[in-house]
Amino acid sequence: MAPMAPMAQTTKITLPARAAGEQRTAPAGGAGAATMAVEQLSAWYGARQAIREVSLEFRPGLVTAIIGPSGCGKSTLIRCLNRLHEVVPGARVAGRVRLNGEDIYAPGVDPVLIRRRVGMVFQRPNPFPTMSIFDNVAAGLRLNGLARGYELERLVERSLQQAALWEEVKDKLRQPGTALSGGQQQRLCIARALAVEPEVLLLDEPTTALDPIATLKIEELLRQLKDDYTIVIVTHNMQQAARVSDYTAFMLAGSDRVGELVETGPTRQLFTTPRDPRTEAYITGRFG
Amino acid sequence: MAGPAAVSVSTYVPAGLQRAGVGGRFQKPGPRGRRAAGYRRRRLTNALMLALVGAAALLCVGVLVAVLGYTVVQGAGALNLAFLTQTPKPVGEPGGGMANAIAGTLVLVALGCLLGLPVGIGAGVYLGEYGRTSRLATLVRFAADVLTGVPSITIGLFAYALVVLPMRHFSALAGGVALAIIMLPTVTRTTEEILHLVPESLREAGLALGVPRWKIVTWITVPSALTGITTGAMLAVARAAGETAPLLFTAFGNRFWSWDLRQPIAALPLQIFAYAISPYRDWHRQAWAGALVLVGLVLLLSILARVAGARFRPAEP
Repeated sequence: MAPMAPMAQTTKITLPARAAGEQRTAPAGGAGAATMAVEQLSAWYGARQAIREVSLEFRPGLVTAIIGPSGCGKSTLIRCLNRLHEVVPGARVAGRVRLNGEDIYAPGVDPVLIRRRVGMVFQRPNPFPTMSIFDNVAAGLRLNGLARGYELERLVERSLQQAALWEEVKDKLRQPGTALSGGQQQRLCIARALAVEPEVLLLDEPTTALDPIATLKIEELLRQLKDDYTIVIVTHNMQQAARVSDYTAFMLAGSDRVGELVETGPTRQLFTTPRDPRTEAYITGRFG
Repeated sequence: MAGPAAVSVSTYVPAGLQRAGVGGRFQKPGPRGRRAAGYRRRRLTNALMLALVGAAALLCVGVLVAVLGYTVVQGAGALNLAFLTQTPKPVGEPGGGMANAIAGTLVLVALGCLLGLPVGIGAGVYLGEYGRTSRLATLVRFAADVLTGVPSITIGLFAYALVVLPMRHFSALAGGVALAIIMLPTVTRTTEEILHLVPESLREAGLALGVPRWKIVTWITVPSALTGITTGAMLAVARAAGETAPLLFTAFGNRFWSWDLRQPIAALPLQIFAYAISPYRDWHRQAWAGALVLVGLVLLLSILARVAGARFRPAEP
C-alpha cells in the first residue's frame, strides 16, 4: 500500500486524528504481557552481518513498530526475538535479548520454550494445509499438550474471538484452513498464535500480502489486542506504522549494508519532529 | 488496399532475412542459385532428423504396445475363473490355476511393504528434514543410489544368507525381506524429494508455535507430504511385485496354499518361470495367463501411483 500523501519533499506523513488518551506513551499492560529488551544485538548470516548493535525496548500494552527500507534488517531483528533466526544454517547472534529480564540466548535456554512465550505471525498467511480451521487454531495447544477436550474447544473459540474471526467461521470449523480468504487466513494465523497464550506477539509485515480492507481489519484487531500483549510489528508501510503503533523504531542499512537502529521514540514524535536527519529523509519520502 | 502496394506487402522479406535464406519461395534467386540450394538442403536435413526422432519414439511406444499386446493375446485365452481360483494341478491333468501364486505375490508384497516402508520412509525423513548437509546424510544418499543399481539376484542371495540359512528353510519371510530391500532405495529417495517440496513456511509456522522439531516433522511436515510419499511407495511396490530373481532362493515357490510365513510360498513370477520352461503346452498357456495377471497388477499400481501423484501436490498455504 502506497502512502496516501504524495512524495513531495515538504510533505510529512499524515497522522490520524486521535483522542487524547488513545495513543499511549506509558504501558498499560495486561497481566500476561512481558517486557522485551534488546541489548547491543548483532546478527550474522554466515559471514555476512545483517544488523549491528541494536538496542531497543518493547513494553507491554504497547504496539512498537519497526520501520525502514528493504534490506535494513527489520525482519532479522524480529526473528532474533523468538530465536527463529538461528534456524537458518550458519546464522549467529551476539548481544542480549531479555524477556522479562532474562536473557533468552543464555546457554542452556531451550528455544522451544521461548517460542511458546513469544509468538509470531508471518508475512504470507501459512495455515497448515492438511488441517481444518479448528485444528489449525488447536495445533499449538495439541502439539504442546496444553489442553484437551472441552478445554481445548473453549480455548479455540476464545482465540478465534480474540482474532475477530469467530463470527465468520463458527459454522465451518471443520473446513480446511486454506478455504478462507487471504485476510481471514491471516486472522486464523493470529488466532493460532494467540491460542498458546504468548506474552509477546511478533508480526512480520502481516498485511503486506493482503488487500486494503483486510489490512484495516487486522490493524483494528491489533488495537484491541495491545491491552493484553506486547506487540511488535515490522512494516514497510509508514502510514500503517502511524495508524497502529505507539512507539516506532527506524532502522537503516549503511553503506556496508549492515542494519542499524537510527532512531526510536513515540510514534507521534517520530513522525512530526524526528531528531535524526536520516529519519526525516525517510519519512518525507526522499528515499526508501 | 489495392494494387502494387498490396502485392509488395505479401511478398516482402526483410533484406537481412533474405540474405539468410529465409523466405522459401519468396526468395529472390541468387547469382548461382547457391542460396536456394542451401535452404533446400537444410529443410531436407530437418525433415530427416524429425523422421528419425519420430521413428525412435514410435519404436519405444511400439515395444510397450507389442509386449502388452502379445501378452494379452496369448494370455487372454487361458484366463478364466478356474485360473484365478484353483491351485496347480499335477502334470498331465488339464486345468488348474495360479490362485495360490496370486495370493502369494500379494502376501510377499505386503510383507515387503511392512518391512521396507517404515525403514525407507524413516530414512527419507531423516535425509529430508535433519540431514541436509551432514556426512551421514551424504553417505545414506550414496548408499541408496548404489542400492538401486544392485542386481536383484544379488539381493536375493543376501536374503538367502541372512534369513534362509539361519532358518534352514525357504520361507515367505525371506522373500519379504528380499523385496523390502528392493523397495528401500526408491522409497527413501522419493520421500526425501517430496519433503523438499514442502514449503519452509509450514515448518516456520510450527516453530513459531513453540513446537519441538520432531513433532513438527511428524504432525505437520509428513502429513502435508503424505500423498507424495504414498506415490513413491506405490512405485516401489510396483517394482517389487514383478521381481523374480530375488524370490528364486528365498520364497522358493509352492504348489499349494500356504499361509505359514515360515514355509515356502508361491509367487506369480516364480510360477510363470516354472511353467514357461516346462515342456507342456497347457502350462505354457497358463504361464501366459499368469504373465497377463502380473503385468496387469504392475500396470494398475503404476497408473494409480501416477494419477495420485499428479492430482495431489503439497498444497501451497
